[in-house]
Amino acid sequence: MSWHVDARTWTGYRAGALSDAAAASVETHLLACAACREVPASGATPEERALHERSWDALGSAVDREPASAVEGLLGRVLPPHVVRLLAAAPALRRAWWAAGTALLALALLAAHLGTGTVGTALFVVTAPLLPLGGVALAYAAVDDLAGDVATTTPYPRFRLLLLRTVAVAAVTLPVTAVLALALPGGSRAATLWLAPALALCALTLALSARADPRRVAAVLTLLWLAVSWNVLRPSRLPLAVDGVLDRSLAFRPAGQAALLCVAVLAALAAVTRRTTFEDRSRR
Amino acid sequence: MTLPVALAGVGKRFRGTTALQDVTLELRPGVTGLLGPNGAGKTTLLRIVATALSPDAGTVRVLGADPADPAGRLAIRRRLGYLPQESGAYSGFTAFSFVDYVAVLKEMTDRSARHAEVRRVLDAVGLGDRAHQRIRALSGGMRRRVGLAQALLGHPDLLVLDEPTVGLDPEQRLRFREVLAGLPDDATVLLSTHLTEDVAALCPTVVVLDSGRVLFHGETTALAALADGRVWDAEAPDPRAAVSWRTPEGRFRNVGSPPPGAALVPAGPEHGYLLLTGSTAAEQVAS
Repeated sequence: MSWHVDARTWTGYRAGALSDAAAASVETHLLACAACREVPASGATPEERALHERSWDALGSAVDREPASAVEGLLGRVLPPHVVRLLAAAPALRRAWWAAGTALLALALLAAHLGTGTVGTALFVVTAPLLPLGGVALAYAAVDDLAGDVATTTPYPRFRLLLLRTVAVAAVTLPVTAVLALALPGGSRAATLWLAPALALCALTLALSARADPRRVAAVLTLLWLAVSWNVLRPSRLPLAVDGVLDRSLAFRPAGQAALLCVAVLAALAAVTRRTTFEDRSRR
Repeated sequence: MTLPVALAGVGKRFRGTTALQDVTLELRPGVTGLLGPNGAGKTTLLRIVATALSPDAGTVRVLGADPADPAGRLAIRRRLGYLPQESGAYSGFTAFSFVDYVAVLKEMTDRSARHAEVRRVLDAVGLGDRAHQRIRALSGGMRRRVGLAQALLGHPDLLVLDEPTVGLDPEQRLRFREVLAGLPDDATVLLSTHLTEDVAALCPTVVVLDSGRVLFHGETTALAALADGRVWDAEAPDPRAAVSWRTPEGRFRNVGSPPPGAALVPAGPEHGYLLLTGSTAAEQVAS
């Protein structure tokens, strides 16, 4: 730095008496010279200094704000920025995963409209609950993997982070699935049967992740779900209506649906009451 | 005065392998170096102090609190900065957004104040001009500095740094030393390294760990004093030496029991360390 702002230049700058070029030169110099920035601050009251610091921080914050993704932008409209920052780190909210998940359901939906629609509808109600389950598992894995021990040793509760991401994944995947389900040819019953298992699988993943790796939990639950609902996908020798096909699995009968909702509630309660065990698992 | 770190009889095993055995340590404010060969248990010890891992045996007190107790653990984490060996930085993030993410996890919710703090720590590690570059585009040394930046967030009372100088070039290493020198006097820093020159330059006190046991804990000058009169140069490796290696001048430096009339050389912390840990550490120093 070859020069500093002298007293006369300061006086002129404060009074707005400098030419545009001279004022711009002073401002450019101030950006790089901490000593000269202190000169006007030294004569300021504590309130003025605090205001200056806040303005400077806000300006820096605005400059540092990075372009948000579409999902971040959407979330930013309804949630505080720090919550958006936590959610946006989850791979489940990333575009590639979304495209794959939605494409799977779109395919099932297409299949539902082919032929009688029975096989496609069955495929849809079996695969739809796995979409939020996959998202939740990916979101949980991100909690453990994203920053490793850095995240583990911060004061932010692991359970709260898991819950936040579960809600975020559910809040985005469930409406998308619901909209797709409305287009099913099987009527309103077929369009709602995926919801209870989806809630139960998400809640079970949350509860069991206190004790085991979320990805393993999700894999085991996926296999269990496919085993339970397999009868629906099994070919039939006699032509069956959609309702007849769905009734072949207990999971889609009224009693099974009620049981799945109970599982969802109990698993969520268990997760909340045992939330401190989520911290302990990462310390083993 | 409450000791920042106090371990008593701490042990840890992983699937039949003993990582730490009966470790008793009391650390005071200031910089303490943790030296030891690979597999000595340094990372396990640091993870226990940083509340990332619980011990199988013994008691741990960090910043006056018990990390086994959820409330105590939370109190520690609010005053802790931790750089793990693998910081796991998400490569799709920019340096700024990653440190900002960690700042949110450290309960900094006000965006302007948080961003100012993120800029401060990135400037402190010399990454102010790379703040908006993706982490995957940064060199290994720069990624390490991103990890260091997040550890400095919020002016922690206790900094636990696992191999902080790995991947740093000499200039960056100097900058790192300046960062540590700029910390308040009452801050406590525990850093692991396998570079004795780091310890000599940074750490007034040192802990030497080998096979999960503490072999030495004291002033770095005392570690060097262990080898006073026991380091000599010769034309060939001396059978009386515990360890020998070839110097750039083509002679052999020996550490052990010198013969009468040996050409003694001044001892440093590395020689005391080699006397304690023997050939395992010698291989690392020579490499």
